[in-house]
Amino acid sequence: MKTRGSRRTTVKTVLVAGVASTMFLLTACSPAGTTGDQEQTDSGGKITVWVDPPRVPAAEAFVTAHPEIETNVVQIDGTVGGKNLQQQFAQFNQAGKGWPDAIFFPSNDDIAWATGAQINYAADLTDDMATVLEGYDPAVNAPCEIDDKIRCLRNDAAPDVFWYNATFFAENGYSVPKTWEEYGDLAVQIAAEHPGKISGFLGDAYAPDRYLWASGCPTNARQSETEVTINLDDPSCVRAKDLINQLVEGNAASTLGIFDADAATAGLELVMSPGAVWWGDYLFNQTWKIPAGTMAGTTPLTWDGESEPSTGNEGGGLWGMSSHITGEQKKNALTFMEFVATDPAWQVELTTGLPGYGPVQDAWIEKQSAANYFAENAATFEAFKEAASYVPGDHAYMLYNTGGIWAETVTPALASGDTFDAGWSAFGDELVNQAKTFGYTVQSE
Amino acid sequence: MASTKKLVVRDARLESHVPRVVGSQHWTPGRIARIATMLFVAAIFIFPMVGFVAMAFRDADNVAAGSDGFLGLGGMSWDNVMFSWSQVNGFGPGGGGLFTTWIGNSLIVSVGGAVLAVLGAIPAGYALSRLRFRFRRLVLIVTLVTMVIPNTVLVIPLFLEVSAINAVGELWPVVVIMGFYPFGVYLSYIHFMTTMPAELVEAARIDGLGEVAIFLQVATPISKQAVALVAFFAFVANWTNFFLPLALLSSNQQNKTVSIGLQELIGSSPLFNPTVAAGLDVKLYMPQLALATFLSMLPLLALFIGAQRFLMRGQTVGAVKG
Repeated sequence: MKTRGSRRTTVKTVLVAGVASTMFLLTACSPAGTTGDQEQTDSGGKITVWVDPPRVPAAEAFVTAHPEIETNVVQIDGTVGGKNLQQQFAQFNQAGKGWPDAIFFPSNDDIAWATGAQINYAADLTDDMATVLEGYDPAVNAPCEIDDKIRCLRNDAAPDVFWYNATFFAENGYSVPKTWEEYGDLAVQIAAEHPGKISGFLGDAYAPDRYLWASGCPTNARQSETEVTINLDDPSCVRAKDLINQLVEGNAASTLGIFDADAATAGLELVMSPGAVWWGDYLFNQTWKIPAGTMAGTTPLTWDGESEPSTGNEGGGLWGMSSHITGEQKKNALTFMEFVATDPAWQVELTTGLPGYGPVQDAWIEKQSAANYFAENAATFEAFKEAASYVPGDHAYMLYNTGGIWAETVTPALASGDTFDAGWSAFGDELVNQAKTFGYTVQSE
Repeated sequence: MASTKKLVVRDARLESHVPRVVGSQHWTPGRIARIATMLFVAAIFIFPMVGFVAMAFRDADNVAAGSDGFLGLGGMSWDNVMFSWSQVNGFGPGGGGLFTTWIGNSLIVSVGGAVLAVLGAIPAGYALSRLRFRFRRLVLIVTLVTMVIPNTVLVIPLFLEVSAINAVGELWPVVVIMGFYPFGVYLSYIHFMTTMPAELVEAARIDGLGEVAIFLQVATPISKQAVALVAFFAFVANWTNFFLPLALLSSNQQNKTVSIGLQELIGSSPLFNPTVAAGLDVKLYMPQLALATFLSMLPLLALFIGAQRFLMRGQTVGAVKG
């Protein structure tokens, strides 16, 4: 039997242990006490660069071209939409060190947190890379212009061109549409006359970029770091919604995503679609194995009543540089940034994406067009260059992922045979919810 | 007469050691239902595992086409494994080889951490169970509380500590942190409480042995099971630890472990990241990912099989009072 004294001791011990462990847990769980505003340091020249697996050759090409710069290349997890990277940068901010000097962001959305007040990693390149920036079409590098500062460099441009099956069009006497409205009407006509033929894919995370961004629909209209405009009732959204509805009701588009396993079969039935320039080699040639001389790309479509084409953008990676460095380290990091953005050793010889930097695009086109894969080879590559300037610039990469929300709402609705309207409504609600979750004030006007 | 009685008693004792057959030996509906239920539950666990192992031996095109028959067993071949291995081993800069590096690093931190855990846990468990000192009870309670703190909570403070000594990206801090293993201390404490009577310690003291000598000469020789248990559980916990290597080793290409490496492989698969995978020389589809995962399990399987004898005995630690 325990005495009163020993019981009191036990209670006291438990209390002390409880308080100690609670304090420990609270300390461990407390939010970051520091922001990205740290003192700039200089390693004396050595730089560390973080790249996802496909960008490793870019870093290796830099090491070969600049043996005088000591470079530590780290391959990072390239998972698009992963959250570990942001967590690591928050830790670096806590520690006040550890950031890479330059990085290829695995997700374009990463630029939102990398330039936010909390992490504040990406340096302002406006003055430091002024000469390089002159070589960019402003529309190509628009996602990097944040609050009137250039915070990143576009590795490759990924504008949508208008793809069509030249063989099918020639055999059946169809004319390639020039407007989005003509595209919708022709898609339904072809679906009726040639059941099984499709004129687009609606189920992947890039679908809102293809149709909504192309229409200037404000899903990602950043007003400031904490404010965004989301208004799916805007006329630009309504016309895109009507177009998609027309495609769905006319059985003219696949509800699959372009990366789905079954898309390889459905892709062979594709007769036309807006799609990124990388569709040509990656999807048509390598993945779906459509025979050479079949597909062709042309100028993006124009909305009725507008004078210029308007098109979306699917991907196109971003390079960022640390704002925490100075001196020789910063100079070398800038050299790295310039190399990966502009040097033909990477942008022409190694990469498969259309370079974002204008002056090397012709050399890249010359190299890529040698394969002579497309039906209208020269015109297709000309359309690649031309398309980049038709991408609406007021579409920012945000902390929430618009494509992911589309894939969680519209895609399952279409796959289950529900109406597009139902998916559209859920998409709008979830966009607003997630924007608010990430701390944005959502405006609807 | 007396000897006969003794024999009867001995026979009765022997009989009491023969395992009794539990349950009915006849095929009653109840027995059939029980066996059917157990087979069904076993199948739920076994089928996915067989399918998973078979996946490592299959061809990616056949997997996509859904051929190869039941669980894919019809499409298994060694050639497929060799091709998948060439893809997994080809992953990484400069011609690949990252996977074997990850496995090597995992072995270093897991073995190193387990050794430190044993070296720390066995004496600590002994001291808590058989020595009397101030705050012994508090230390025991703190050990128990520390056991239930989730690893993820500790990652940021640990990162800050390691960063303060400029050791982020190096293996040795991970080994040291993994060596901190309160569950091992608890296991060891229970072991000494149940298998080493206090009278034994008292007798050793009366014989003139010091406390360190008692631990080394009396306690340690009877700790084989506790050592095996602590080492096994520590190794498994270290091998599967994800957050600690993620926080401390991600910034060093050559020092990553297989637990975070597997995620990189998945992130580079066309199945999960089509646009990223498009730029790679190697193609990592289901068979390749399954092979990498299977290979990363082999050390655990080997350890489990090797330590099975100790584990079967050790699982009764704490069940019987000494």
